[in-house]
Amino acid sequence: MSAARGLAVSIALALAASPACALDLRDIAATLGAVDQSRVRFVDVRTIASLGTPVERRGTLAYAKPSTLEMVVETPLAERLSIVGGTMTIESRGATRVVDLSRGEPLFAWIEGIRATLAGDEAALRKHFDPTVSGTIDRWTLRLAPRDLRLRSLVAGIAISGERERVRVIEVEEASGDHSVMTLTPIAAAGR
Amino acid sequence: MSARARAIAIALTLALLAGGYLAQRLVVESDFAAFLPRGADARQRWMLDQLRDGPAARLIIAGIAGGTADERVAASRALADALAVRPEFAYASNGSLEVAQKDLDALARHRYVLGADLTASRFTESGLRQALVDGIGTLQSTFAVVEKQFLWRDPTGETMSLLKRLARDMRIRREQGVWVDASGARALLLLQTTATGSDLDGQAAAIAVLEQAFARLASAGQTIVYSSPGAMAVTSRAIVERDAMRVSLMSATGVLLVLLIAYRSLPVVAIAIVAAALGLVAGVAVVQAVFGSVHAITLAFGATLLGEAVDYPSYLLTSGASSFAEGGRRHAVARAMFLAVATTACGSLALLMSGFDGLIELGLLTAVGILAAGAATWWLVPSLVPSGWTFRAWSFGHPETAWRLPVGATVAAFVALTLAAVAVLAWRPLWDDDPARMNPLPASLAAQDRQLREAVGAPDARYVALVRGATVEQALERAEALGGPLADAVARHELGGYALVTDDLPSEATQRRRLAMLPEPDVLRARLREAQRGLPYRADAFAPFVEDVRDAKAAPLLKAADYAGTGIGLRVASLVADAGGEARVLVPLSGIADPGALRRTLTSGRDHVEIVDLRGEVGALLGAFRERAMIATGLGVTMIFAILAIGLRSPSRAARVVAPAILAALWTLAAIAGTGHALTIFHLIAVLLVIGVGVNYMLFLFPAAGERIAGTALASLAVVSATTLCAFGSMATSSIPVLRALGVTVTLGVVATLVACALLVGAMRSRT
Repeated sequence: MSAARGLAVSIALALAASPACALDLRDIAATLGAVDQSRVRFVDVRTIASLGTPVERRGTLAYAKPSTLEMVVETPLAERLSIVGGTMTIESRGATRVVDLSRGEPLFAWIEGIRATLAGDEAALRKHFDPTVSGTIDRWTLRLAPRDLRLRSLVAGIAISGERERVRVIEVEEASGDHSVMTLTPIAAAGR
Repeated sequence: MSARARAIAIALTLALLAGGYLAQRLVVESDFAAFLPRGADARQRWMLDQLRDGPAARLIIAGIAGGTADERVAASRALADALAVRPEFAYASNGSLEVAQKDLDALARHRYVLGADLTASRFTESGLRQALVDGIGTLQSTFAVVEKQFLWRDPTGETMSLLKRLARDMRIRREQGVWVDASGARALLLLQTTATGSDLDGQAAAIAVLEQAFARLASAGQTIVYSSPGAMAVTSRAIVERDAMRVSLMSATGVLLVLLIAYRSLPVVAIAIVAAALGLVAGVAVVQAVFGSVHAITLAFGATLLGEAVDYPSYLLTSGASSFAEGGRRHAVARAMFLAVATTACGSLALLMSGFDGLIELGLLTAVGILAAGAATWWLVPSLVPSGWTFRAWSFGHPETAWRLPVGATVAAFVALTLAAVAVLAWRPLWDDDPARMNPLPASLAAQDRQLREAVGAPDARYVALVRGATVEQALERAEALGGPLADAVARHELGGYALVTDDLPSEATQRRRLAMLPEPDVLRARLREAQRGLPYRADAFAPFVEDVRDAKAAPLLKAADYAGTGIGLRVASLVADAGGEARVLVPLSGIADPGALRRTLTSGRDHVEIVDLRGEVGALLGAFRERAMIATGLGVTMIFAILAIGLRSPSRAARVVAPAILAALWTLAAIAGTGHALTIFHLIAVLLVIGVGVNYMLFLFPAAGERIAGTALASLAVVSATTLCAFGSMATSSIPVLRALGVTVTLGVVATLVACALLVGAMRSRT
């Protein structure tokens, strides 16, 4: 009896687990893609081997469908970074740079990876990364392995985790061993 | 042994000897370069070699079109990867950073000898402090992941400033990480062959590898275009081979047909051909012996010359002097035959003196071929003609009674034609010395080459500053010294831009001066310790920097070889040359407003600097060759006149033979120029051939004093001019400009000579 019960539990577990196993990028992309806009605060803790103390960066991140992303860093170094369409504008340390992302410069691909995740833009993600998905739709993790060799020499991998349409943590593992963990918290209820 | 048997035996022996020699030794060359001018002096030869055989000649620019942008990027990546591992290619890049990584590594490794703005103050305690404070900002920035990669080894940012310069130099647009042209419609690749530019088999092999790899990797609807000096030479070689064969066949068939119609006897036609062919075999054998190979163009020209050499058997056969039985008649033709052969051989003088290897080959072939064909005709033909065969002349009639014109009309026609010719030649801009027009390549290929060059920002470098030195080091130092004046010239808008190779390969003196700015490891460590005070770096954070500075000071100085396999290496190799006892640095110049003014600015007080106009240089060479060809033509005409004056025993008679031939040649040039064609050196060289042909025709119309005009002279002229027209007419259809110019000139020349003959015949009055 107990064996039969054990079997039943196993089957039940397997059945319960199967939707999770079947979770793929399309599910997450569809969920995220439904978000019209969002605004969050972030804390980014960057651990650098040659630095005695981690660098802690704070600011806001705003996203609007389909491809607008604005990152404003308040401390320790004021910076503003915005992606509108295929163009990225970077204002940092008194200088403004404009980068054409459509040229596919791999060095900027990681920022494009974050934008594409927020937009649920599966095609853009696959262009630069090999994505793998784990967890359930309620608690998912999306791992992005860079395809480009040059980017891979800098970024070993990016792990983005979230709950349904809410992105919670973006971790960047650098090839040098340095890494950063960016935690996102909603400012207001995300508009739908 | 009968005279006939002896003649045959001797001819056969000679033919076998020449044929055997050729069978064993003949090397057919089809590289078009033989028909390009050699430089007049060592420097010019070096410049031309550089164009032909330098590293720039090994560069292939390829463009992939068709399909979607993503497909082009995929094909570009796949092709670059496939070619990079092939031994035929020394370098293959599609602009992706994977390939550029080698360049970045080379720059980073040698940053302390390359930094143009390196100063000792950067390595003082305060300089380092500033760098480390900036470094904190870098670590705090969003793009730290990218920007901090050089921080620990290079806090003073030397690598970044070199990368900025590299990015500025490399202006090719990138999309999705690969090079594209301005419109984005083509993905671009830069390739360098391992074979030299003049190794056409090697170039052809590399191109085959490129084509095959592309065919395998391309997606549907994609096409590739590529261009390089080597690829163009391979294409022109293929054109030369194909065209030479076609022209030879066409000309031989035409000549054979004319002879068959004229003689209506296979043995007689065979005899005429054999006599002419013997001459040509002898000519080819001599060319092979002298040059070590025979050019395909020479062979094609030889096949055409058959049409002219066959004139001698024809003169003999049509004059009824072909048999020993008619010894008297043969004697009568002897003088005309001898003079005709001698003057035609003189006609090759302009070719022999041209200064182009290829044309000298043609001249040698003509001179030897005509003399040998003349000899074979004289000694062989009479003994071979079947007894009883006679030339049945068509009803052209006797020249003295064939048709009549008032003498005044003939004179008027000559004067009118000549005045018109002089007017045309005076009115039309005469000479075209553009070397581009000499190549057999279709204009579309040249346009494609220009397009691809523009797309990668490598426009055909026309102006180059040439800096000389006894050693590479001295030349580099002098080139560095030219940097200031060049920058000033740019600031004054006299110059658009320049590429100074010393940016990538500084002189040893400069390298040492830069290394001397770097502190010793202990000093650097102590300064860093102070500079780090109060900043959150770990104590040993900049140990890699100290190591690199120490290594840079200890390492051997940077040499060109250190760039092997990089794009920078391509550039360095193409701009620095050590040419036997003299080193040369090339500084490509662009956007020159006033070449004369710039030349004065850059070269005054600097004997070792020269401003070279590459296109003008080759054009000037052609101009010089043209002047030489003029002198050769004048000399040839003088010799022809002297031979005739002696042979005909009367200068006035000689003048009557030469003058119409010269006038006909003048009409010919006017006809070419008047129909909108520019005259080239090749037309000029052909003029002497035209005069030679004209003299031959006149000789048979104006024999020496006391000799009668042969009754069959008109029929003779008809046969010989028909074969010559067939042969040179075939040549006029060639797509090789050299052959076309020679063919057109001689064809028109024969027509003009026939017009002159017709007028003269009309004015002829019976002397009986």
